[in-house]
Amino acid sequence: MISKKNINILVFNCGSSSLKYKIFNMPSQEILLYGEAERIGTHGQKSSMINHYIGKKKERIKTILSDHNEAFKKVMVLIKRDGKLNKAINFDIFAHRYVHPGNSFRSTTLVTKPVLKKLRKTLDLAPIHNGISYKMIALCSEKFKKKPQLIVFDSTFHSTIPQEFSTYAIPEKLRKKYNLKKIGFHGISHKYIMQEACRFVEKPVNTQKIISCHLGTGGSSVCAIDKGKSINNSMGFTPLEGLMMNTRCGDLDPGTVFYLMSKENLSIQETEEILNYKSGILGILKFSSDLRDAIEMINKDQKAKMAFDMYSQRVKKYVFFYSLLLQKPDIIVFTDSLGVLVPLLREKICSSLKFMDIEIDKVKNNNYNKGTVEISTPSSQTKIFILPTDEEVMIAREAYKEYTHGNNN
Amino acid sequence: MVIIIEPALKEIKITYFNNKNPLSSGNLILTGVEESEVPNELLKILEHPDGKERIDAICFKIAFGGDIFSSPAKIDKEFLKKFLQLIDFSPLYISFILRLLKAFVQSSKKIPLIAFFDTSFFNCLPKTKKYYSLPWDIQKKNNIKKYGFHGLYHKANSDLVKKQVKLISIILDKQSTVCAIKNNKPYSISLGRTPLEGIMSQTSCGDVDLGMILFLMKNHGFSLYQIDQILKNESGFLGITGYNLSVAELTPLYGKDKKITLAFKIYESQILKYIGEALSILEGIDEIIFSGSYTKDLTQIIYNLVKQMSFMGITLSETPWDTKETKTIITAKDSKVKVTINRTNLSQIIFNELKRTV
Repeated sequence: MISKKNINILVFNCGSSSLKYKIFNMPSQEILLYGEAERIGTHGQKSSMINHYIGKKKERIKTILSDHNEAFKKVMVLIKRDGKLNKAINFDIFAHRYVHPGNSFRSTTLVTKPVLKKLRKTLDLAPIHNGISYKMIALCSEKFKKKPQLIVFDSTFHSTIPQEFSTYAIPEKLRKKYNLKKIGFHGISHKYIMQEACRFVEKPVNTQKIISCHLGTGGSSVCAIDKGKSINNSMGFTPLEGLMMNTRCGDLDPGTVFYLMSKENLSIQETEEILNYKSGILGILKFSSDLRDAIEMINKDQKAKMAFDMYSQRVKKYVFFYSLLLQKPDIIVFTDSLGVLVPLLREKICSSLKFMDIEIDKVKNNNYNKGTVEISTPSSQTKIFILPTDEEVMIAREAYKEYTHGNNN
Repeated sequence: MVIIIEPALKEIKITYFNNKNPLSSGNLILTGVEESEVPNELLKILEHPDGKERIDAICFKIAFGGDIFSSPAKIDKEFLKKFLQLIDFSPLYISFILRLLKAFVQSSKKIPLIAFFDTSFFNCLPKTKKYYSLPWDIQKKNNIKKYGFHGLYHKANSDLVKKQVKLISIILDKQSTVCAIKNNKPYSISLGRTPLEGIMSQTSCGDVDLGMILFLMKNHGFSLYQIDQILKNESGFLGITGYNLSVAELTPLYGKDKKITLAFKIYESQILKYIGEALSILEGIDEIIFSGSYTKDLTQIIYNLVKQMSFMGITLSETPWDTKETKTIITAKDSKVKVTINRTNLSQIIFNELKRTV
């Protein structure tokens, strides 16, 4: 029942330090323009910028982007300008990625005033992402009252995680009352990775065991996928759990945090601020939250080496844990900025898997250019891929489905 | 005669090792101990040694020795001064131990008193495992780092293998821990600063999402004290099953009761996570040793864990496994990895260590 309705969708995908945007013609999936605002509000050595593309034409705009709303406004100016030059460039609806709907939303949703109100109640679940997305969605509905907006949620793919992996060992009364369980994140990306990796090896999704490593300059998570379903994700009820991230601590002894709170007399807000914005790579490295800055200094600076080692060890921990759960994966995929752009990270992670007969081809790993590339040796029992994720096309597909077919499609 | 004392809040275990007649060795457990006083029964052991043999030494198992004690130490006035410096780490525990040791120092001047620490083995833990992903200055200022746990157990297992062996040592006890060992040194440990980290226990939660904890405090008004209590004393197996029974007592119902089965599956998955971490650091595996007082009751768990790893060329020997010997190899001869259950109890481990050090 594919609708023939032809529309253009402007997709926004907020990362904690980036804003990706793309206009898709649907259902053709043809891209009219796209771009990314990078290093929004980061404390790195390099300045923030917008990379803006129409066809093969690329613009690189260095500009100060102190927050996502500023980036959004500047992107909208660019799109408006392009629309004046070329009438084909326009859009009918907005589609946004939203990471943590709690238990309030389970599927793609059209924004209305009540929806916004409901959405607002979920802000504290993911202080970084939800706050950014909510503000943008609110600004968007204020500035573009006539354009429908759809929200696509990140947690839907993880709804298949089995009880023994999604249940926290805390009192049942508490779990039931506040709906506390592992929700999981980056679901849009992990789902895309699963589909594309299986398409690449020409095997049906329901036959493959996959470990998907989504390693970004903002958030990072690893997902165990068994026969087409997510069975575990390193992030939890919130995106704070799991891997060490740019500014988030990841797994950490709660008792130590309690100790710090009483010792330093920290409020909950201050603690939240430290764990979400001042820990992780930034916490160790101090001068930057970007792993690539640590790698540049790795031979000169002890802290840089430590930050890199800690980050990669955390990824290894989950890759091995999930290798045990899946009893050895068929496919391991690296995606998102760090996963795609940092050969040293992939090498560090994969070389430790050699005793399981999983082997990375160092030449292929170092000479990666673009697209989906297999970087394992021919004799490796598990295929290793670099596969750039495309959350935007997944978001466009979901939004299109909802917009043209309505609820319960 | 050697006396081993394992003091814990509320319970003190005393074990006698007779030199001439090892069979008359025995133990005594003092329960309902108030942390504010030293029980009279405890000091009585100095007056009337069991079996009338002379007391050669009294050893104390101490959970925490910080950076100060990286090996067993003689307990005297100088020791007490140093030990007091650790008070901040766990005021209740340290002051309880201090009171107890002070009483012994005052009343047993001639008998050597020796402290064995559960943290000493981990003083050489690699930096990347010792520190947390918190802001560096905050860690330094507050001396935040991982001190490890079950060091006496893990060291004993480490001593059983050759230097080059890649060993994963797993302790199933009131607390459960997983440790990666190479060159007879620890490379990772699942628990190490407060009892909340790592793997769940009868009443503590094991790894949880800190974001979730902050959510409960911020949005639902839980105080720091309340949350700490819930995670420490109302979670773990109790939180899942509703029964405040020891892990050993719950095992007969594994597979029969839905909630108990779920609790054990969560427990298994938490252990697997740290086995995964250990594997990733060792980049291979030669041996696995299970120890701890629950190994006898948790054979099903051990079986499930090893079974899950069978794809790495581990083949189990047929069950039921022999339980008469202190050490049982549970893998078949052709298994690529040797898996052993080591039932040596902690007092015996300390006794062996004492003999080695003297």
